[in-house]
Amino acid sequence: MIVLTDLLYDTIFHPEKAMEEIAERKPVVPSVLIVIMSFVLPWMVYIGSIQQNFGFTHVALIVAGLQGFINILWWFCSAAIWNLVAEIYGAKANAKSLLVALGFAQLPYIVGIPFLVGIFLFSGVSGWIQWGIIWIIMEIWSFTLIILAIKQIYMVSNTKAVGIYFSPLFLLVILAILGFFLLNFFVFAQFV
Amino acid sequence: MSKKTVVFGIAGLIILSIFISMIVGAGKEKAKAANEKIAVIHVEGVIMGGQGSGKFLSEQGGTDYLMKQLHEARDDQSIKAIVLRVNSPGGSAPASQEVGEELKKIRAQGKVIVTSMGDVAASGGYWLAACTDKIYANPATMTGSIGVYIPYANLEELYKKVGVSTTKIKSGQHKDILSPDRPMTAEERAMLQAMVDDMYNQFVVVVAEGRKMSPEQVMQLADGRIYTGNQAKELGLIDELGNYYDAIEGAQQLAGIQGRPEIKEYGKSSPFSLLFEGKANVLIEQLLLETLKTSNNSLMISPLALPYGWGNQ
Repeated sequence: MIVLTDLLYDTIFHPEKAMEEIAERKPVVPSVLIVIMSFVLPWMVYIGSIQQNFGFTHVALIVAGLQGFINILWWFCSAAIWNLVAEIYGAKANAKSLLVALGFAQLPYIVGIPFLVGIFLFSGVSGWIQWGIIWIIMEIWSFTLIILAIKQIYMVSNTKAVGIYFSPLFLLVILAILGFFLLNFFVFAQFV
Repeated sequence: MSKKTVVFGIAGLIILSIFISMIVGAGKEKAKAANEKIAVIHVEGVIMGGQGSGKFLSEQGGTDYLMKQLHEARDDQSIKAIVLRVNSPGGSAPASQEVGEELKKIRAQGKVIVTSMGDVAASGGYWLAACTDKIYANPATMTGSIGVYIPYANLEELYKKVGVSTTKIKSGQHKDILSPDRPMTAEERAMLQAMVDDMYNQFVVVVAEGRKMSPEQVMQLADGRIYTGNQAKELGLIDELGNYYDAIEGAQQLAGIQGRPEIKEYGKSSPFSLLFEGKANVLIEQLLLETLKTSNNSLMISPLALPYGWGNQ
């Protein structure tokens, strides 16, 4: 039986162990809740505190809703893409486990909230640099959790996990460069 | 400490943080709303009636826009005083009068209005200033030019030289008054002089009421000449020598605002207006060209009685 508090504790303090547990048990509901809260709670803090100083709260709500939609879409797509890349790398497909683990990898965005609020209380709206630093730390933390998730779910080395993570990005860059050259060759060459 | 305690502790901290941020945010908003504000409204360039240049996502110039800003400031209960930052060589007499009357109405409703003169606040610009509670000017500010004129040029000889002949079918004897292709008749001159005198007298009354002077005293100063801020202070045409911030401080004192007031600036360039707007100030020559294009007798613009180029700085 999964004890959720233990799983959350391990995700924060023993992430490698937590990802192993997640890969095995696949707790879908907590994962979905974490994904939803990872964008709802920071936006609540932002709209409740900072945004009130600037107005346009309704615009911020629209942006928050849009970000929520994109986050969920990105969650599903990234799980599908990384699962495919892991298969290409020779690992055994396990998309559901990866999807659940990627949800847990959003936990830093929730845990970081007290720090964001603390900065707001002490620095006000002028503390945007500190906000940025905290946000970068949360990004790095989340990235680390994703790498550990890939490592534990597909039983690969750290290097291979990083490779799986960045492969889609590299592919995209290569395709963009190729596309640019092909466009140059076929379209612009006609005008020379 | 068990894992459960740590997780619940972190969850509690997160919930507490969210509540604190909302309470503090709401508190700040309330404090902000309670703050007493001073509105700053800019009068830049030539004062002309109408809507000015409405562009995509913004509008500028024209007294309609200026009066809209004045109304917004009037309706905002947190605004206790208005600082009119004037940087204008003047403009049309009716437009200046229209805004001047609006300023008087706003003052009658209990809001303090203080003028801060920039480089130039002459003629129509001074008309507006005279309708406010207190006038601040820099010692070197160009002001005064209290008077009215109608520009007229007789281009008859030039037309002959370039081979242009004009014919008019008129509904009345004076319909082509101020026409540049013929000399002005004595009768027309008398009619126009009467109009100029009437507008001049209205201007004098406004200045006399605003500056608490007799019309005779004003007429002695109002021969169209310009004064520096220093001279204007000695003659009683302005109240204080000082810059924009002195005017804000003066407005604060007159309105009885305690502590540091919040400044709400109207007509400030937004990122949108920077993207979609052309030059904000209406140049005199552009204005005259437009006036010439649109109407025959709208040359009744009065002030503009400043040397060429002063309004374009």
